[in-house]
Amino acid sequence: MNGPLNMHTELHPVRSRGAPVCRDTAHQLSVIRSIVAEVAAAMPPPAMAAVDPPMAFAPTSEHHYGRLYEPAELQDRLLWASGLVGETKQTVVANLRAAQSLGPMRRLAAPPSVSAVDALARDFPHCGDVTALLRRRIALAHCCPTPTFRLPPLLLSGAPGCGKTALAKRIAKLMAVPHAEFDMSTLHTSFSVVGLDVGYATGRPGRLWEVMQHECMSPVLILDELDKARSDGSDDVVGFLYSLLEPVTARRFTDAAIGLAIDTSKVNWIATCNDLRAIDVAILSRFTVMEVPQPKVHEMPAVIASIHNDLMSAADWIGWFDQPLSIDVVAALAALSPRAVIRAIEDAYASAAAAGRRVVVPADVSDSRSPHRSHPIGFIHNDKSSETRA
Amino acid sequence: MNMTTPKTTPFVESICWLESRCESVPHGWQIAYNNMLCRLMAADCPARAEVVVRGPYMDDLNLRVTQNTPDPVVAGILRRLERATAQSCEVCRRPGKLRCLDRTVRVLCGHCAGPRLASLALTRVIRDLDKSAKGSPDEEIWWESAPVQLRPLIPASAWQVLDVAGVRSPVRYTSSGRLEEHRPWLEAVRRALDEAT
Repeated sequence: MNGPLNMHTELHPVRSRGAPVCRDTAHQLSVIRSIVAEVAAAMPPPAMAAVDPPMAFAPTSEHHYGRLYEPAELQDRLLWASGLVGETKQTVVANLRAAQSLGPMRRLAAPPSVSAVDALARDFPHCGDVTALLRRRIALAHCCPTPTFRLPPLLLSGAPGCGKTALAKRIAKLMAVPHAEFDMSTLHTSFSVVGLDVGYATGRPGRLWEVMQHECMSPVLILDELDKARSDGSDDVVGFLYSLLEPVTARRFTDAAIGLAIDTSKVNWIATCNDLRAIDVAILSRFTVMEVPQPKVHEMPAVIASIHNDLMSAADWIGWFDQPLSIDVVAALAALSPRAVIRAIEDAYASAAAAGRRVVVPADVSDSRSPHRSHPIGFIHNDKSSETRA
Repeated sequence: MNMTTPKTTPFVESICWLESRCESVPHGWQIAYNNMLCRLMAADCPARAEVVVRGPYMDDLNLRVTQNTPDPVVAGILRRLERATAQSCEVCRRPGKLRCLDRTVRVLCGHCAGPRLASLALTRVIRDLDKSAKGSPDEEIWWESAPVQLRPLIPASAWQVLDVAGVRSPVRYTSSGRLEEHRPWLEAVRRALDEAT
């Protein structure tokens, strides 16, 4: 058979002609109901759920699957790669073989649990818009028998240090899918993401291809500091986003080195930025922009608790100290930004250790905000500094 | 009439061996298995004296008997057994299909599969209740994605409705926290389901 097999054919034996068709949900339910009736006769029954009208569908598996690539196209590329030579051939063939071994059908992300989103809302109380969006998307995902979850491309915008990147990582974690981070401020070309043609000496597949070589085809890709992406003149660093953020064109993304079309429309994109004006309007229009404000003072205790919990799991020395932080210390930390809180907590523990105490006191908390730089470095000055100089 | 004792061949001996293993075949497949033995005996002839059939093996899909040399007639008889066992319940011989149970797959009809699948789904729910009791976050059960066998077992009062703007039909869900108060009922139902299987 030349055509691709679908999952149903691969998993079930083909029924011979004339054999009795086995559609037996009604039989199953009738037996179950009779057993439930017997139990109900023996003990006071709670009100039972009415059984739906005959199911139009039956859940087939826990996870829904999608097709990453067409096997026939992969065979074509393998044939093409066999004509290459040297290290180039090894790279391309190894990547194609790896994709072949994982198979064309890949798992799609399942919706996260509502309790996980509740925990997210508790730890990021200032990001109510984002958690509300997650709840709506979860509800939408559960409107079909095999719920699959996909976020719209999200752009988290806000002041430095307000917790955008931490929020993006946390969303990736609660979705229980693979995730990758692209630091856009240090990205000078798009080759490292979308690959470079193997005709070049340094040609190799991009990170997007590598991330997609997983049993799940709905990874979370975090584009950190999208507004800081700088083009080197010959290559538009963020140019790949034009097609990848459009579901229609993303369905047939082709890595420049591998040349096999893969479906990247199920990828969950989360970008962060400080300044929306620095982002091209065409890219901006492809994102759902969500403002992440600085947490208010009354929201800070939850944020501090979340940061402190993360620190407790990461720092070995923290076991030496008495836990948790006192209310006075939390109050002292509440005046800082979330990023400054991370530094301030560590500094506070360091001060306590130096003083030989196992308890952090408010006096240990120093203001870790970066001192305002009065004279900018370099020759370009902003308007305010120019005014000052004038 | 030939009054001499029929000569025993490897083919007949292997059929006798299969016959001795009849008790190990699941009850629902025994008629198909006996039919296969009768057909093999009927196919006995000098040309097939050296054919040896081996088995029965439980494949992941059905019951299987193999042969050492490719004889088309014997192959057809064995294929007929495979097809029959892939499509009939191994417990009661009604038309069935392959079912994924916890760690096994079995060919079962709706009557036999229903209680088993319901018990399995209920076991998972009760396991989640135990985890919640130990402090793990609540697990949600959504009506649309819950196994059809589980839905009639959960009390109506345990379901919550999530109103979502733009979604016409109500989205119903429950959680292990809400099901905790119905634990005695769920455990009684599971016991009854287990006894029925």
